[in-house]
Amino acid sequence: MKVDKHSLLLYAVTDRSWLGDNSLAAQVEDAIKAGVTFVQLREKELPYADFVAEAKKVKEITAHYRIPLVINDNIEVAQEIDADGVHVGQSDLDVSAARALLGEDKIIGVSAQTLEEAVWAEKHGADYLGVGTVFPTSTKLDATGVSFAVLQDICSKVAIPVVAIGGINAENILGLQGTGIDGVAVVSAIFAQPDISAAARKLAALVQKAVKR
Amino acid sequence: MKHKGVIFDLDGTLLDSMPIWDNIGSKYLRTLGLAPAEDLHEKIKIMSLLQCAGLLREQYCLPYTEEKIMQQINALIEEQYRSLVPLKPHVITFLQRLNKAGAELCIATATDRYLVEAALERLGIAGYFKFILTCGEAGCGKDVPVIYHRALELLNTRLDDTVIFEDALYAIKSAKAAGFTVVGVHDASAASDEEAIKSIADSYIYTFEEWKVEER
Repeated sequence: MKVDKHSLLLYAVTDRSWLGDNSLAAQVEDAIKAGVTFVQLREKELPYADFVAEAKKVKEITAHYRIPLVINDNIEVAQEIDADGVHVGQSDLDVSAARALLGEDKIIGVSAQTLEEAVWAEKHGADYLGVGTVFPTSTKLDATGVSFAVLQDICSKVAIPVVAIGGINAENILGLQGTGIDGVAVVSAIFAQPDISAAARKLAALVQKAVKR
Repeated sequence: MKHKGVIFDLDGTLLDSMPIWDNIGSKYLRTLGLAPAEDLHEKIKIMSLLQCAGLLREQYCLPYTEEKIMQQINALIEEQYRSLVPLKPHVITFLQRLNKAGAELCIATATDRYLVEAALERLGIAGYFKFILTCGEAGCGKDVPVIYHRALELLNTRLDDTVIFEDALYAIKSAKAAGFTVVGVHDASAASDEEAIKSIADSYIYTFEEWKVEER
């Protein structure tokens, strides 16, 4: 298995909305030092050259701490900077292209909202699943909710690791106990916080109780 | 871009395959252990494959018939489509975006189907296209717009809802004359036609990053 499920424990998805005067790489470093175990670089608006430049800086950090780095949706950026992989949506075409262009050794994460999508993604070669949204979220307005029961069902029926995503924070994270997830993915619960290190540290302690034993 | 249908040329538009054709004579001679003359490329670039085979046979005293030489060159080209030809910059991201936007995509190419399929399968992008149409199948080259009309029929989109991406001047000319919206795509192999293409095509792009896709 290309992705060690323990590395998915506290999965941080970047968001430059709350950057302020900081650099994204510096925020990622703070988050990793405080316990983040996996990083997904997500950029929706950046031109290619800026995206690549940003990804290179973040990769320097993740490589230094030996934390996997995947790129959201952009196979080409992942290829260019030799990232550890990509995270793509529920599109068979994108999964096939990512596998062909990045090779067998890279991590391909796929988003899923239903058991059918989860089983499908596993069958098509996904290395892990991002399942959500598990709680209402402000960062993805159009995201569809996934119930506790569906999340539980997915975790019991796929062999690849599952990360819960969507609206997870220190207040509700323990609500995922008993679902069978391998980790939680967070965005604003880390990057929107005034003290990123403190926020990540708190989540890193709580997530131990939320994942399956 | 709100276009519902997109017709892509393959070589020089989606694939960076022109260097293969550019140096094919030299590559072929090297497989035989021969050193190509420096001006070989200039000489053969406007020749048909048959003429090229004749020139190579004569000038390099090859012990093969022209037909055999053509076969060997074709095998070499096939090998490169199967194992080597890369996508041009930003193609994969563009295809992902068009797919998300719900556009129907196809390929209209002068290259033989088995070569097209070999390259697309290896690159993992075959699934993005509804179909592949070759000039051989359409019965004409791109100097007439038959292949584009046929592609439009198969896409089942309207002429004003469809756009062609193409790097070759002669193909752009015939598509424009037939009333299509055509975006000229820069390729190093057609650099000398750049100004002519810009004057005929509806737009001209250096890479696909410049073309904005409106998500639905």
